Amino acid sequence: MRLRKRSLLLIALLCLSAGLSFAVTAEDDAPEPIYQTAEEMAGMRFAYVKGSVYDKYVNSRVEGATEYFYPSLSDCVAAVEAGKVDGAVQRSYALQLAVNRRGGTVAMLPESLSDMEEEYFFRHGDPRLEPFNAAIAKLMADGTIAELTEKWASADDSIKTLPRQDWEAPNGTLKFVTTGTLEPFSYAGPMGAPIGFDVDLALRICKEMGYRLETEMIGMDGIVAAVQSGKADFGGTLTYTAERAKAVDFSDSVMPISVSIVVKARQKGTSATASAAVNQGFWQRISNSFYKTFVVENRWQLILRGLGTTLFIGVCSGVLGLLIGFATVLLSRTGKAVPRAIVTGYHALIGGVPIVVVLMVFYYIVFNSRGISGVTVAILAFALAFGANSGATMSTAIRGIDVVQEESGLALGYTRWQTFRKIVFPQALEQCVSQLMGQFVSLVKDTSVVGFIAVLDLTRAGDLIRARTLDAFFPLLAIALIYFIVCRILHMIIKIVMNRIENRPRTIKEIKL
Amino acid sequence: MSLIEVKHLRKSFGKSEPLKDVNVSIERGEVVSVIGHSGCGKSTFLRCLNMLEKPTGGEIWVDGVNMCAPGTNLPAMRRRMSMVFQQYALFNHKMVVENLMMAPMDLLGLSKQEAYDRAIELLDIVGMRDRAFRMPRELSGGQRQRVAIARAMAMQPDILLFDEPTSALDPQMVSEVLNVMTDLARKGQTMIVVTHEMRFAREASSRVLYLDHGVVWESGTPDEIFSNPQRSETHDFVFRVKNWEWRINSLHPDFPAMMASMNIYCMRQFFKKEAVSACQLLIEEVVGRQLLGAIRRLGLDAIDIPIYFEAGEGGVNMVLSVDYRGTKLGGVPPMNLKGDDDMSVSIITSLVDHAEMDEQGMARLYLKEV
Repeated sequence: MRLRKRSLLLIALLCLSAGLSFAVTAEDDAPEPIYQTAEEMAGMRFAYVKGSVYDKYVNSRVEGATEYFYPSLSDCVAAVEAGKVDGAVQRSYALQLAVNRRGGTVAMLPESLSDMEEEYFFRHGDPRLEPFNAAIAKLMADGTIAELTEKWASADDSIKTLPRQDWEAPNGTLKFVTTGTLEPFSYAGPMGAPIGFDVDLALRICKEMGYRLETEMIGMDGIVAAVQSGKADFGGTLTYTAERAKAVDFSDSVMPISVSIVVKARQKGTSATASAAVNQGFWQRISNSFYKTFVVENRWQLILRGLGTTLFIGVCSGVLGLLIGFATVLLSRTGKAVPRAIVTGYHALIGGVPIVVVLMVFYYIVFNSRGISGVTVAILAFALAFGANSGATMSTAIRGIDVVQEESGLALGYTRWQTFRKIVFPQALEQCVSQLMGQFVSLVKDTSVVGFIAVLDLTRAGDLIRARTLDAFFPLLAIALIYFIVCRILHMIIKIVMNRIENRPRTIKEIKL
Repeated sequence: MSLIEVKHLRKSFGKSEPLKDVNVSIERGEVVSVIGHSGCGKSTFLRCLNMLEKPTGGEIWVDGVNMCAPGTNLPAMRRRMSMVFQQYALFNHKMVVENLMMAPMDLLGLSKQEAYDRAIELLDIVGMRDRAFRMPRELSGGQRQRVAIARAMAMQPDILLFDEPTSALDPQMVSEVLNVMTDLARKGQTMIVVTHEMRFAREASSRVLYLDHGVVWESGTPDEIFSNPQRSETHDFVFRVKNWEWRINSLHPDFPAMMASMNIYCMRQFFKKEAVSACQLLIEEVVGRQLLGAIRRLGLDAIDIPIYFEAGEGGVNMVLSVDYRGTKLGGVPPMNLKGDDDMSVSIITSLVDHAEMDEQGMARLYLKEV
């Protein structure tokens, strides 16, 4: 069954991939790779997307290859261009696109490595896999899959839209996780919405099964964990391997694919695209990159959305973290053994585990229920981290306030709590407010790791755009600049706030009335 | 019943027990000075009165309320007995006037206007009205302490407790603060003052307690304690605080430190300017030239010679004493002035009225009045 489908589709795909490469660049202008076969590359360095399994195939063909794992294909291609690795390995489709986009700096080896199958996957023993496979068989038989293959391999971006979910969904909603960084299979379209062959096909299958579909882009290294932990119902598509099949149940194959290697292209003086790229002025290139990064498909909206998420997580976890920090201060002031031990344990735990790990543990293990979004988890994790920091800072400041301040409050007849609230804490706050604000700005920057749990923040927005433009540098620098500006603005706001908090002279009027 | 009644008060910190059995009762309107060596427990005694320190044993009754009983509403009692600290302890995040307004508004329920009016009135009394809208850090130590006194007064307390209020201050500022305190004492405010300022204890207080060995060792009017102490410890203490003492125990004594200490003594005793320069000059010549010169000539190495200076207020009846007991010097200066330094000898002779030496070897130089 599997073999028959495979040979059928292979023919269709071979034609299509030829069409694709023809559609994007003229045949005679195709850049020429500096190597011709994989065997030639013995002992060299290869780049893979983190979580991919293609290193096994390469290692079986190429002797003494070393592997380097990068977050996304754009990083792999950038590594080839920069000479940090000799080849990047990925599905031929995606590589072809990269070769076309880079305008002659990289080229694909003529021969593909191995033919493999791309499949969706479910949690072990999920009963929905059976109807899912039935739907695949139906769509395969009626030619829908071949149609979709053609659609997403096309050079015409205007037809690459998803159908509206207007069908009856008596069975509810299925949650689907996909990498989001592998055009044309799965990537961020206009407004950052996930699109691509994988998403389109998942939609058709859900329609057949009577479900609605909710898609989340989570990165190559997160999709298996998300399905295993129950954060999502199914994921894909992934290349089938026996090892992966131990972790999850794979569906029937939806598409045979081949894997290729890109390497540096030979410098050809006659190559129109290459020389065009070289002849372009610096500003021309900058403005091209700017156009690709911000203007095409209104990508600035994606960046804006990411920035909004970054600030939202930063501010919420900042406020929550301050409250937590204050609570730890109060707990340790009780002087009782149990609360103090809780605070000490909390500080030790948060201080001893990297925030990324805390984030992932929270997302996949502690709050693995479907209802809790990545943003909520991120706010909680960062609030806990900030709570530990700010609590320690406040405690230090409070210890720095002369004990006689407290005694004089008590001697006037204030209770312990009143003394703390009206006399000790305001003075301590004045001492540590600038430090707290600095920690808050750091917090906003630290949230850049939330992409690990499928939250679309500023950094992740940049990643998604880089996956589309396959331009490693400009989006990175642009994102860096945005972070810089945002942090400067936060600093300025903080300065204004601090000037208000600091003991400015109050007017006589304010005091008397 | 007395306003304050302390019965068998005991306080220990681990092994040390500064207060063993303190018994005292204080009436309304009394101004009580508590004196004693540093470390004798006089501050601890004061801090026990408003329960900043929890007594280890005994009872403290304030206006019929047992402060040590578990159910006592301490904040309410403390509102009736304000305290002034050595380190002023003004609230640094509040302006001067707010320091005075805070507690009356929060704890006595005064309106903002009432608290403000009361604050300004009190600042006027302590001479700080012009500084009402300054921050505490902009004030000198003496000014801060006067504000702290006003803040304590703002609660209209029955009792004012002073914990060494002038110890952290320069002599000039000491006078500012003492003047304010003396005024309060004259107005009939009940005050308990732990102090090193013997002038205040002698002039402004109605009773003096001398604390030693963890008990009230001697108590009486200022005249009884300062002029006619009954017990030898009291006598020694009073003598020591009235006198300046320095020990010459090296061939190369620390002259700057010695002169600085002398200066402080002069200012404490409110010496006239002429008296200050006279006694400084005399000490320089007698110790620096004559005494050390003689020691060097005789080739002595291990020496320990105490010298004392005593005087009445303002610098009258000044006497410089050199204790030759236990030395081989046999009273070199001032009895046998060496003639080889004419300058030094003539300076000493011009300053000293007459000299004498008793059988034990204590030499005394009586200075001329200046």
